[in-house]
Amino acid sequence: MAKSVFKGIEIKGVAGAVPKEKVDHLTDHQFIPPEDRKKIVALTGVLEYRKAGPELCASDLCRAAAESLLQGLQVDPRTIDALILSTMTPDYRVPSTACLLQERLKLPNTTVAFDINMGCSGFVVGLYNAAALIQGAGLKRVLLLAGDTQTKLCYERDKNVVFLLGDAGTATLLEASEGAEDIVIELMTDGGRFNNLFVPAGGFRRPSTEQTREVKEQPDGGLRSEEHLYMNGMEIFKFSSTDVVKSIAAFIEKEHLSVDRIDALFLHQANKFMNDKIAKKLQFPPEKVPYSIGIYGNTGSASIPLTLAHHYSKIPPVEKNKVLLSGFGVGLSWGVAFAELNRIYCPPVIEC
Amino acid sequence: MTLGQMENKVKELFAVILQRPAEEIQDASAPADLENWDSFQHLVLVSGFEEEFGIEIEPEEIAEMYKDFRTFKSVVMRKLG
Repeated sequence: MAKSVFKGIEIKGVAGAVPKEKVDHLTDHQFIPPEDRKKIVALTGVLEYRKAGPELCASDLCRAAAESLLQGLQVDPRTIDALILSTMTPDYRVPSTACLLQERLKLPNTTVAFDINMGCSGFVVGLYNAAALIQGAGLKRVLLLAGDTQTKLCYERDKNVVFLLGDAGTATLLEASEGAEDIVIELMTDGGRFNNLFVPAGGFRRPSTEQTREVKEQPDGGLRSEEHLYMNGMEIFKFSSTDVVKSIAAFIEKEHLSVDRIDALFLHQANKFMNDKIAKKLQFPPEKVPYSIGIYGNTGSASIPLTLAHHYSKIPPVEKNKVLLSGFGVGLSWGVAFAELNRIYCPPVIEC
Repeated sequence: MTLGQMENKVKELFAVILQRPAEEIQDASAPADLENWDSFQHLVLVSGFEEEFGIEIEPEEIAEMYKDFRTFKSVVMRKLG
């Protein structure tokens, strides 16, 4: 079981960056009748989202977030030991975008840098790796970037995904810190269900061809190509509202936690209807469940840190805030983390 | 309200939300048989029924209801007790 307890590690700060371009679901997406758009918005809770233009990559958003974070924390980039980027939308198929970001962020050549190809569980998986590098490899400072430009993975008229997803990049700094409270992380995977949320073609299993690029009605009735993101909505709903809920509930029990002892539950921003159901099932009151989905949409691996940044940048610094985090999605992969945030630094979300 | 009237009300609301004629909806109608009944619209349906009837449908039930109209209706009727 991939559950680990990390000692002496502090999450120092989280920053988020989003593209300038806003898409308003109620006024845009005219291919859907206005009444339907209203219903969809009421259900998903996504009023608007940010969309990256052709030149803007997830790495650019993460870079902006990282610069804002390091500057605000007055951390010299030369003191970063490792850089991890969680993304499904890298700059190039080869090499890891983390390598490019090492140079762009002016980190030293001694930096360990690699990508994690994960989606909505990416932040929790990234935290696990970052914490493992500090505890296991003795590193002092790890910069965890999580970001996606998922709108580029979707066909613009696929209403199953276009009303949910948005683009964002984030940066989180983890540091070795004696006396810090334990960070507990549990990760889970079920690759048997991978094909409920994936891009069917364009990789090496099914290389890109004229046929796989053709936009047409797919067997499920959706309009897209085989190189666009496919989601089996009901299977993903079942996965999120049953497997993930059970895992979070079991984690709470095993760690002898309770809703009273947790200050906030940060869920991957899947959609508001589903997240409300998950929170209710776990008996979390709404005031303990922050959201960013209303203005940024479901931002993939960025969604948890973006919600952290959005939430903590709007309130005075908080001491010893105990938070439960859960990311779930492509893979299928999911994870739960428990951490104490002590006066975490979160600058306002910036625009690129 | 009789059981029959209640069932009719469920069918009417189902038809209104899906924007399909009520006569098109049969007990055996599955999502594949009815235009508009996709996974997204299913959540719109559930949300609409929760609001209209003041009921709360559990996540497991939401998944179960995405089988055919008979199952959808039976879960709603069970909730209405």
